[in-house]
Amino acid sequence: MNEVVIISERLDKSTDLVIEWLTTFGCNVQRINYEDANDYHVSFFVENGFVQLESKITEKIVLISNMTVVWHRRGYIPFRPKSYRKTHHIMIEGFLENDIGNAIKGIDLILQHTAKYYIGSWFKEKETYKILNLHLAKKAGFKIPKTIVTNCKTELQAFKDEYENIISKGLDRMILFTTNEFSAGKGTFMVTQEMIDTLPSHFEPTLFQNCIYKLYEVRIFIFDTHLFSMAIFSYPFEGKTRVDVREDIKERPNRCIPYILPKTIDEQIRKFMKFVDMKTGSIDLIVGTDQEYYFLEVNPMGQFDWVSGLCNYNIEYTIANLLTQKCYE
Amino acid sequence: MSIKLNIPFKLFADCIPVKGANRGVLCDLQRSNIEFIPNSLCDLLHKYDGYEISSILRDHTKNDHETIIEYFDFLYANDFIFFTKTPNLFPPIKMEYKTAFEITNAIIDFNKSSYDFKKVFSELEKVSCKHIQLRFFSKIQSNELASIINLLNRKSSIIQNIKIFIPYNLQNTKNNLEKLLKKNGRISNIIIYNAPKTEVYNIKYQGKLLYTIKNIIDERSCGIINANNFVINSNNFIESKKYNSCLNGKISIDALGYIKNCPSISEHYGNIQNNTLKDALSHKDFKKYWNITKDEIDICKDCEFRYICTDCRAYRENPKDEFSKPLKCGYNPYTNEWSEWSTNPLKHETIKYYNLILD
Ligand code: SF4
Ligand code: SF4
Repeated sequence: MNEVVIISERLDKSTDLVIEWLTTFGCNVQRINYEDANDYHVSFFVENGFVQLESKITEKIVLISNMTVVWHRRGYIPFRPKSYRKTHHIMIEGFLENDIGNAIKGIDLILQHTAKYYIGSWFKEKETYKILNLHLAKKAGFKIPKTIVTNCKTELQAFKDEYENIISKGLDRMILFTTNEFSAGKGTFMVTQEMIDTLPSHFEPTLFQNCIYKLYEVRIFIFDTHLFSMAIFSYPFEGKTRVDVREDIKERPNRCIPYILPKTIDEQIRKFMKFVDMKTGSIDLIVGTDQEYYFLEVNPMGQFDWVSGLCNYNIEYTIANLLTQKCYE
Repeated sequence: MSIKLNIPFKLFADCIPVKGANRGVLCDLQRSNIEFIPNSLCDLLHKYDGYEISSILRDHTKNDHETIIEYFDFLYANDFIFFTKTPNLFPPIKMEYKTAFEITNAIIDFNKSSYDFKKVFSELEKVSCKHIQLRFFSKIQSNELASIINLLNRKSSIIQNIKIFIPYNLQNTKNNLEKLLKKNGRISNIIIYNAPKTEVYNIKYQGKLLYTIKNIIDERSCGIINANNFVINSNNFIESKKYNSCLNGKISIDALGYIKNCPSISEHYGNIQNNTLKDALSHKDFKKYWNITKDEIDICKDCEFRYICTDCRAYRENPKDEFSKPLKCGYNPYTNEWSEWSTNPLKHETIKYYNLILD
């Protein structure tokens, strides 16, 4: 049976493009968007590890089983009827979110084994640990920025004294606070001496890294055995600031060009992916002014359409081709 | 920062030099921009990309050094090149053009036509056509247009983008046309030609209403080559290297319902009333122009714009020669001058031959 199931989001362009190729290759494609929770009755049969989705509209049944090839692109299986969400008290909602999330994770993990071929994981997207990834990247042979997580001012001061230019960012994701009244957020920022001076001797644990001076960044999209690399020259590079500061960044977007990974780095990436047990994802590296490759982070469900388009890699074609092969294997 | 003489330089892979008869252009595909450069610089870039500038200087006499340094100062200041000790890690962009479906775009002409729109659209779906142009040559009221567009409203339709050309008509108020845009999110532009004034209205999240004083009479108004219509991006550049930049992936239905590659070409492959687009496509001659590239077309092959220009095979300077230059191009790549094609005395015979009506 040549059936491919894709778990995705409604507006994901990459999914559209892969499906176009899959149809020309003669595959039968079932796309499940996680926003369409109200459209399905969903049941999970624990014994054999099959998931059944019955469309309430067409009564069509999608069965994810040991016969299907699954690409878990984004989102997750639409398990919770939308109509119930947010109708509960915040405390009950918190409980349900966690409780059902636990089942969704469980299904994700089981399907990895029961489906004929399964690639991508919401579970990995949710539970990715920056410091663990850095640690494993080091083990795979990469250089990593000097990194500490500390709650101690003297330790931080010593770190700052040693490396001079240091940065900080959220431990899990971008720092972001939103309420109805305001919204504030920050990605990566420089930590100044003034900031340190205002800190008490003991504070909330925070991540600090030394600043790597880069020649350029490298973004690698990995899909099974395929690696697609792109170099990104963002300003300022080579110590060169933008020629005309008045110019909008849109007019002079970063240069993004195809890149060939040196063999050792290619091998380190594959090793790292094994360590974190991921078949797909995007990795960000920095090539420092010392010509060394520094591992920054991995995104399990990152976008790849711009890598594909800017470098003319036709990643969508490769993915469809691979999924088709898996169908007939 | 100034250029480095002893570290290899690389052109960014999205900046591609193209030589012309008399001058070259550097096509900056990510920033949609072109820079005119001398052919001699194209040659240098071709030969030395990935080597140190000092090696260029070594191979040239002292007299040339100042010019060479000036060239590279310019390239570096404008982010066309960078310096790297590992030039072989930066490959060129692969010139490989792939689309999932054979047909990428369609032109549908209407001139008091009697064919069935419903059939047309369902046929377009069957060949997975994503972009369509609807060109109305006769007057059409906005409510008629609305009922045609309604046929295209199916949620699961593969059609992504619709461009509509209509003649100016007092009864179609701006308000009514705006409503049309809102009716179908797939419409990107409504172009109202023969209007009293040229005006553009951007309707947020909906698309554009473009009023233009230019007139369109019928399919014979198509095919004008103009620097404003150059498309500078990698998709177009790569397609132009391999295929015809107008006719590749195109299917059309002319005002009489005939299925053609382009409405202006006389060869047809059946009529939409009785034939399918799929059958037309499988005819051995349907794609006969698809592989004619600018590199094979007379004069265009010497033109620095050849991979960003569109093409026209329907109206050629020499109607008997399939590889002749587009008739409606006024550019001369040997002198780098643009002139008005329609008043060129050398073109008069051909204009008559095609029975073109000039404004
Ligand atoms: S071949 Fe010429 S007339 Fe036909 S669609 Fe292209 S530009 Fe227009
Ligand atoms: S000579 Fe050919 S390539 Fe050059 S502008 Fe005219 S039509 Fe385009």
